Amino acid sequence: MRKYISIFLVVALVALFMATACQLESGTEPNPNKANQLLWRRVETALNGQYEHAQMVAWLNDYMQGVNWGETYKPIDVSENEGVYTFSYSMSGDYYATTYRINTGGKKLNEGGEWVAYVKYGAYMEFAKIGVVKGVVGENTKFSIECEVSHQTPHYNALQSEVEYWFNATEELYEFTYTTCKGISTDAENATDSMEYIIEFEATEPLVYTDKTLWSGKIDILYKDNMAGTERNVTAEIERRFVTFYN
Amino acid sequence: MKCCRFVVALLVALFVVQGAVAQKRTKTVVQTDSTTVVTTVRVVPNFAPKHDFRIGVGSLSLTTLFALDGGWNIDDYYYDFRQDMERADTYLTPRTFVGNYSLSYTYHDRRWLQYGGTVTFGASTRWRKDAVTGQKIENLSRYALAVMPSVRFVWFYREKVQLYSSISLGLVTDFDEAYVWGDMTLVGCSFGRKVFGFVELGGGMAGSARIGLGYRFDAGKNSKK
Repeated sequence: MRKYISIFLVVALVALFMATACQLESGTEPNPNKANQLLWRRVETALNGQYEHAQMVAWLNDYMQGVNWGETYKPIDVSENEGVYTFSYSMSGDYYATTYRINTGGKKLNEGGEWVAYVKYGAYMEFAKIGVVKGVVGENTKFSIECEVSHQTPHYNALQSEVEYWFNATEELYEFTYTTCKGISTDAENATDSMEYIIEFEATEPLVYTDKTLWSGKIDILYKDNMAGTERNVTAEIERRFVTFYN
Repeated sequence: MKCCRFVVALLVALFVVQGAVAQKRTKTVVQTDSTTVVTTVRVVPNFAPKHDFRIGVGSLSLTTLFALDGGWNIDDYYYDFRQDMERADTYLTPRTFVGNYSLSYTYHDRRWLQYGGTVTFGASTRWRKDAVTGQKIENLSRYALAVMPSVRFVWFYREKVQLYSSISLGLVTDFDEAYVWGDMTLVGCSFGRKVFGFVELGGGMAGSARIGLGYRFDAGKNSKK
């Protein structure tokens, strides 16, 4: 009996001792591109926000020209009062409703109109100014949009883009091309030299956003950490959802 | 590392086994005309005070888990953008528990009572490394050192086998702060006379389950019962 107990103890001891080297927390994977990816995500958030604004402006521009974008892209609750258009893609009163207000001044973009655009995220927020939209005279589908500080989307402070777009009403597809695009992003209201960090980006070739795909193009991203006194420069080349970084 | 631990475990196990099968008993057979009487006589020598030195290793316990898991603070779960960028070129190795190790000395004053002290040391290792070069940047390992007086109660005493319980209470430090904590053995068993192996189940700074080797020798004082 003692022998069997001893054998049992031997097996239990060895198993116990082997198990004592255990992992308390898992580690993380080395990723040499992680800093570049963090920078790109901030830039992409800014671009996606700019794209949303450009899409609203483009819809209104075509709406005023009589171009029908179809039911898929048609906003609900469209109202107009003395040249001020208000529309939303969600029910009025919805907690997360996004509502746009564009003051056209009664002029279309291709008539040299200068629109002021506002956006409100959520039923209980106030309208925040997106920026000024200026048309290219004689060209229905071109405009420039200069965004200022948006209190509700803190990831970018200033973004300028010249947009060219087309909408295929038959297939209900659209394509936006930012012929020029540059921006500046911090987490603060106003970008100044004293800010903790500044992310500047500029498209080195036209950026294309196609329906159901994402950006294509090349962007230079400069990151300045003013507290640490460092800078980081990377070029992001985007082809649909794949981003390649060049240092 | 795992091979060394395996070899050490086997060595201790061998001592345990040899102690378990080495109990000596004497048997006396008395024959009469009509009956055979078998009497087994256990030789019980007089008790002599002894010095007892032990070295052991223990598994993770709840106590050592708290001391060695690296702690928690909000920075572990929320980073601002700059913190994310500062850490982006680094990665963390897994936090690995490498064992609780103990050294103890007790004095066998009586058959049922031993007292002395224990020093335990536990560690978990973790490093922050550079994602490109793999070089170590920051040591995030945790250590716990305890120094505790201890008392051991032997409730089954034989020359080569002893069953006991013990309790220790003292100072513990993780090299950031110090506090009072302890250790307890619910059931312990030692096998062997001079050189012995031991197995314990308990909780506290030495771990939930411990094994080890020891050496005891007579203190040279008068024997007691």
